[in-house]
Amino acid sequence: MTKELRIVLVVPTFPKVSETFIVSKFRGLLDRGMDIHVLCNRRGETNDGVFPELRQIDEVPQRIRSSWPRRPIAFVLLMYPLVLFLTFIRRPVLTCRYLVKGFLKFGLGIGKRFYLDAAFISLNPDIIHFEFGSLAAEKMYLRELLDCKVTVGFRGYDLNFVGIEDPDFYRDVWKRADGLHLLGDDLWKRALNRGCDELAFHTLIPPAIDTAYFRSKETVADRSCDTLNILSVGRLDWRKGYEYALQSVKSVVEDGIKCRFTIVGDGNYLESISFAVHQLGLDNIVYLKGACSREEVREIMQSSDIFLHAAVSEGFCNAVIEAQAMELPVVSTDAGGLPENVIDGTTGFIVPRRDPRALANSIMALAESSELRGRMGEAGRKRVLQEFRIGDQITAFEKFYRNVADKT
Amino acid sequence: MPQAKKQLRLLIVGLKWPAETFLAQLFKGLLGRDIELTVTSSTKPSQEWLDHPNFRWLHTPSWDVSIVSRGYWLCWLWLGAAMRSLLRRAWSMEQGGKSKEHGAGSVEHGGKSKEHGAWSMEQGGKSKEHGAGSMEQGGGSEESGGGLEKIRERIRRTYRYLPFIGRTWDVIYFPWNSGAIDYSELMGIGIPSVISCRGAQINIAPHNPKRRRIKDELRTTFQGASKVHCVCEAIRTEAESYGLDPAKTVVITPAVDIEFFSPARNGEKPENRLRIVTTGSLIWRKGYEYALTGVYDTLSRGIEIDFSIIGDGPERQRLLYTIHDLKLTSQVKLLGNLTREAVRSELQNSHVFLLSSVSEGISNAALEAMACGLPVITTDCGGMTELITDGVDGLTVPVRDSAAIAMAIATLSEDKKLRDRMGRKGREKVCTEYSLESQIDQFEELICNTATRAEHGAGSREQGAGSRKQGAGSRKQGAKR
Repeated sequence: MTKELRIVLVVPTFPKVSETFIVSKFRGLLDRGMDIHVLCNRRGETNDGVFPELRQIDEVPQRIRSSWPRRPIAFVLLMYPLVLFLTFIRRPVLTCRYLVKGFLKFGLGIGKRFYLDAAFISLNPDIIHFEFGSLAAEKMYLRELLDCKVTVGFRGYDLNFVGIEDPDFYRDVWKRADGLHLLGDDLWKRALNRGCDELAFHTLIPPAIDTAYFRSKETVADRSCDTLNILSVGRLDWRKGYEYALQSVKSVVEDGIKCRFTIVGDGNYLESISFAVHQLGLDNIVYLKGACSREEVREIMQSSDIFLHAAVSEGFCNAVIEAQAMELPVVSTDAGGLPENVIDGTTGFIVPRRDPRALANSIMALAESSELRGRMGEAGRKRVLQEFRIGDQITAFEKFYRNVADKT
Repeated sequence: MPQAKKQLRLLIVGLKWPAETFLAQLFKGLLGRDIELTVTSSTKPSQEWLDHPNFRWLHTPSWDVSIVSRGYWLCWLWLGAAMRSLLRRAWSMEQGGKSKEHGAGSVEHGGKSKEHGAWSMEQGGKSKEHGAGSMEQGGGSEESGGGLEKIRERIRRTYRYLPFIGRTWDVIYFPWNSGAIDYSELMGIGIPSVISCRGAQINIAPHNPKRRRIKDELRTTFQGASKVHCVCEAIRTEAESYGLDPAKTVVITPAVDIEFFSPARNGEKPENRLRIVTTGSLIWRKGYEYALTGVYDTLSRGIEIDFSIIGDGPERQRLLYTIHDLKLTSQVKLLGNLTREAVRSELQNSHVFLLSSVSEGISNAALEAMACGLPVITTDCGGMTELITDGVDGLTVPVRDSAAIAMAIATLSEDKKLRDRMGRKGREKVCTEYSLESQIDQFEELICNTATRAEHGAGSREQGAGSRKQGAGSRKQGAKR
């Protein structure tokens, strides 16, 4: 062995609360001694103390790079010579190689691409890993130009609906990727449906969470039960199906159950959701908490009785794993990988998506029996400890990258 | 002394040009009634509009476009324009003041105007705070964070009002509440104003926790306006909860061009499967996911239908996903944006119009469908129950209820006679109650009333005179210096 593999994880924004899994993957692989970097377009919430784990290691800041700014155009023109110069000084051979090969492939268009790819060139990676399939669709040429391996992760929306109109949207990815990472079986099936070769090198690694961190202090059955505390955590987006969740809560309320529904998260559909709250007459029952830190989420989960997840499109959903780790029974739809996440009837209930009535029935079943809630909560915790441990996930990723690197 | 009827000058503020069809047809109608329209927008209207003798366009460049992206030289151009405008403003104030005080006399100002011009420039900032213009009246309420941010906001506001300086109109019309909020200071300068309440900005925005301020802004603008137009009773009730004075309110329903939108000539439609159509931007308010689930339910009952969605918007991906997820790719078509003619022929070739909105004022799309003789299935939100009588010209279903939508589709799919009868009734209703002519009549009346009331109404006159005096005072003050 000569040097450690250099892996670059490509994400749009880093770090980001709703994409905590990438932060923990980065930290985990770094702790295993891999030469891992993150390349993002935008810096996320770095200084709010949201991610203390990123500040514990001194070398972290050097490992997070953002690509050169693309706007305003005048600034780009100003920066271009400088970027060219800096990249050339750092990687003279690779820069020449990129430009020559690129020119043969794209003609003069490579000039523009160079600016966008400069950060890749100066990192000189062994493996580029696109964390979302949609990022990779246009970038597969980097494999030839930089003479490195390219792997692609699929996490849900990228296979569920990005480019769904275009049958060739991922053709390049299926043809050229050295390895695919998918969260679960459902996504693999979707990949096959969208033209992926059955023999393509792929691995299914479900998300994982810090089970020591997400740990309940008491079991659900012990919690006070004059009001039923229902909780949803996730970005306010149409994919999460909050409108159906609200309708189901409405029928639960109408059936005479005293409850309180807390929604944690922020997003573009705040207006839609707050309007639905008003229209359904749930102003005194629903609490829109906005975005919360990890501690706050744990705190709120601690004081909740049921975790409700009404998604219509989902990859796997980390929040549901966290809820199970916190011993919350889960009422969830059957969207995407959720049936692989929650065991129907054991750790929670799986119901058809877009069906508020079915959601309500499951909530009612749980509302009536604190014994059932306790049993399902315990089963959930057990399952998470078996299946979704962060250590196992990191080991699996390490193995995946080594396999990809050894491939010829 | 009898005078020829003076042409009304109407200023329309807060538009993104090209305007929505229903606004464009209203404007065309008003132009036809010999009202001079001045439209403000950052984009240039088409030549067809500009060629109309009564149409003026006031360029209000948006802040981002002209200053930030196009470069700083435009700032200098604007500064030049601003100075010119200030000069003109001083001129017109002089002229305006005189003509109102002494009738027609508007002579002697040659030398003075320069003096005043100089004053305006010196006093520019101050006069805005307490002088004649009182442009920044509402601006004070804009409590924004730091000092720098405040200065920026102030510059931005001043910049926004520059194009208006030095000109005058009889009535200001805000076709959207948002426009009235953005340009609320225009209501403080003595020109009567009319605001339209159409739907989402009253129904939805105030409930958004991040836009709480809009409640107060609505209240302020309702107080400042001389008249407020609501598209239906439901919106009026909603708006009254934000402090709208019922005495100021006028309900004028939207209208449809019944000549253009008419039932198919030959009358025969392909009858093998039921064709359902809907028109509207692809936005969450339209509740398309409920419509698609309803279509899915209908199909699983074994009823063969096609569903076309005309329009485009941010939710396209959501709809595509839902269509794929429910395996409706062969039954549901997303047609995108179509021309008016194509919309008409699509309506004429369909059997039922479906509106699944979770919130509406009165849907213009439904009006167009009724004019084409289609029965309408609609949710019972907003003014839709005022438009559709359940069982007569369509069927109403509860909001967010796909099972009810499926039921309604099933009812109509079985009964061709019912569809025809409802379609005929719908067409009749639209022709008598929602015709373009009567809508324009009502608008003309509203605008003329607003203008004349402001002239004769004692209260408003005093107020006007007061502010004029105040203005004169500060002018003297300036002259002394």
